[in-house]
Amino acid sequence: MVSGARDLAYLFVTSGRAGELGSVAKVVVPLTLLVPAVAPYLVPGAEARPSQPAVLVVYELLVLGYVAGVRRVSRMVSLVVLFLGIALALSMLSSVLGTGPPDPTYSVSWTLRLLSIVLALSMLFQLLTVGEVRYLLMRLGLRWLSEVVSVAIAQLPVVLISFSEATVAAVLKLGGRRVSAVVKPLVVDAVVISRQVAEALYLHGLPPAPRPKLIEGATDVYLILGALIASSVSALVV
Amino acid sequence: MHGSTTFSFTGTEAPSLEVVDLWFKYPRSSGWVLRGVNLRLYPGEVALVIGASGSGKTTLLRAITGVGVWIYGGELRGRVLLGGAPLEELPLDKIRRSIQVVNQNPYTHFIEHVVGYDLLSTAVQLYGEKLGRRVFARVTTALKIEGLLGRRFFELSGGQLRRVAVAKALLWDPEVLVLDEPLMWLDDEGVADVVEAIHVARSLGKAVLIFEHRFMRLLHLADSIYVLREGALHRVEHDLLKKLQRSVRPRGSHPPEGSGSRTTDRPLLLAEDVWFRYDRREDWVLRSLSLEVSEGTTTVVYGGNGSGKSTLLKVISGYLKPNRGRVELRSRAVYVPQNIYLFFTEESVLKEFEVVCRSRNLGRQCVERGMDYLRYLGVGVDLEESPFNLSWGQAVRLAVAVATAASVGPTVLLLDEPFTGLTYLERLQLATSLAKLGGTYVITTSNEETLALVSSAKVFKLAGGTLEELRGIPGRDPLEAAELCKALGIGVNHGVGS
Repeated sequence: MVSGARDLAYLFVTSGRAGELGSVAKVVVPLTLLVPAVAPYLVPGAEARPSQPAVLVVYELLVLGYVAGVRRVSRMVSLVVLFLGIALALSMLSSVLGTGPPDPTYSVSWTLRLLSIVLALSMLFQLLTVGEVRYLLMRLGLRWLSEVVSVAIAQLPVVLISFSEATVAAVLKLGGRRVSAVVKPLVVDAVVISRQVAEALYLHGLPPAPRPKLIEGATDVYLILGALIASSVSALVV
Repeated sequence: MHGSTTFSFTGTEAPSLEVVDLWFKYPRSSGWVLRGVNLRLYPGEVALVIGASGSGKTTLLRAITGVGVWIYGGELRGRVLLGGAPLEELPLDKIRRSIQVVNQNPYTHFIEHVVGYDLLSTAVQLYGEKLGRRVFARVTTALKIEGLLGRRFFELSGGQLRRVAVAKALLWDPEVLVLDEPLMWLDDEGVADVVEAIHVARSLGKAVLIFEHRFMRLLHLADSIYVLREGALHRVEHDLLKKLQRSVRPRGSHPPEGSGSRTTDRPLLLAEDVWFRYDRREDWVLRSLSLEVSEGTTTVVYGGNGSGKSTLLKVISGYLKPNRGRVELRSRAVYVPQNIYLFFTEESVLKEFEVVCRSRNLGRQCVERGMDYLRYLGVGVDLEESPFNLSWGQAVRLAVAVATAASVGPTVLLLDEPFTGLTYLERLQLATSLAKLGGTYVITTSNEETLALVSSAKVFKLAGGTLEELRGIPGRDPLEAAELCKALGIGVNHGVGS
């Protein structure tokens, strides 16, 4: 749970190499990979083929490995795979019970698709700095939302650290059956943190969201091309 | 000691901050928290304000920055002048450029995760691209944080985080820099970092106002020292302070001895050749670590921030499994986290006891026993009071009472940095409480100065993932400091500021 919370935090934390890419690539690459992964959910009766999302997942891992480093990616993936493994097991179980999907291929395919969506969203958060997220939301006319999202993303790792501490304390204090008891201290902690954040915002304000650099270099182009190819291949493979 | 109104640091310069007969209260508080505070702070002056927990230090900070009125909706009387201009007449941007605060929880100062991005975007916001980059480079060099710029703020140690927060505050080039409890949660190295940062701020001509109850390490820095008591500031002359320091001897405040009533040779906890790391691709946090804890004894694990103390507690509690080696716990373990309020799960003190007793299938007797412990430890609170409203010192002792009350048979209490948020007197009070109960404790600390409080304990230093027993108790600073607190009239308050 302790390391899990930390790994979960890293899924949504800006990577150190994010500054090496332009904003266009940071937005286009994850979205290009996200569209083919999400589309089958929106199309009724879409066919399930594991090879389609597998192509996306492979490319996403390559990009994340470049941006965040292999070590961090493997940590993130192990966490995502854990959750998906549970989902897959439940799906298989419901299949056995006659209430779920018809065959394992179907389950594997949709599980991979979900993994590809999580990785694409994680890529978006790891590539964009909080300032860039704010800039984009402001450009979309969502000024208020841009401020809320900035603060939420900024404080997410801190909240997850508190979650991990409160869980250990509650489990040892009340036994494993009452893990739900952590909700109360976490709510109080969140209120305290939000007050402190309000104080900090009063004194520092939010840094402006300066117009980000659209293109940084050739890497941007390679990554976008790669995403387009992966996305197209995933749509074509049988 | 006398009420402060007319301190002149440079004689001719105008004060950077002037507070005149300041009164403040929160919207729902019955009385005034501040009652006629007067203060003048000049460029390049370092002023230290000390006071008990709940004496109103943070409230004073909120009042002089406008946070008290604008964020908390409090009522303010009197005058606050920043650079000679009344606070209420200044636009927000001017306030920010006049006064900057590093608060108790510096995590909240950061928006960008990567430290360098955060500081640079602030500098660019203030000065534009070209000048912003120059100011950024100058401040980060002055505070020697170049090596931290690529790190994420939540990965930094307490000392590093505060140094970076001071750098962010200095980017604004404020006239006044306020530090709220800057030494909280810091190890000895972190304290040195903060002291260095204060030196830099002073050398840049900033007026520095420090609120701190762990004040001994800052006395030599301060040009003026104040005690906040009963809502007012009282200036302490350096001569008087020196005289008091010479005169105080830890007469009544000798280190509390363990009661010994339940001390046996029976080991409750055995850790043998324990190795632990969070991930196979990471370095070991604990390496070939061995520890034996007998019933009724106190074991102290001393180590710097990030040395693995909290991890060690989680491993020996059985919550984390060692990668190699063996941990044998022959009793229950209860973990009291560093952020004490994360321990509490119920809305009242009474319910804390009821729920923990019920979780162990114990009846009313267990709750009654808890009440007895609470009285025994001198925590005089309303049982319907929310534990989240207690002062830090009261909360730590309540946690100890809750954990002890529900112990059927031996229990090992794992206390993660319990002394950190406490005044010197409260530290002594907690150490005495633990000794009185005579339980089995494993306590972590990152400050050498707290070791004197637990002189009967076995002390181990955790460094490089291994434990090494320390022989001989270091100086008696905290005991003298506790005596000094008494001499200065800094008692133990029983509430929180807001």
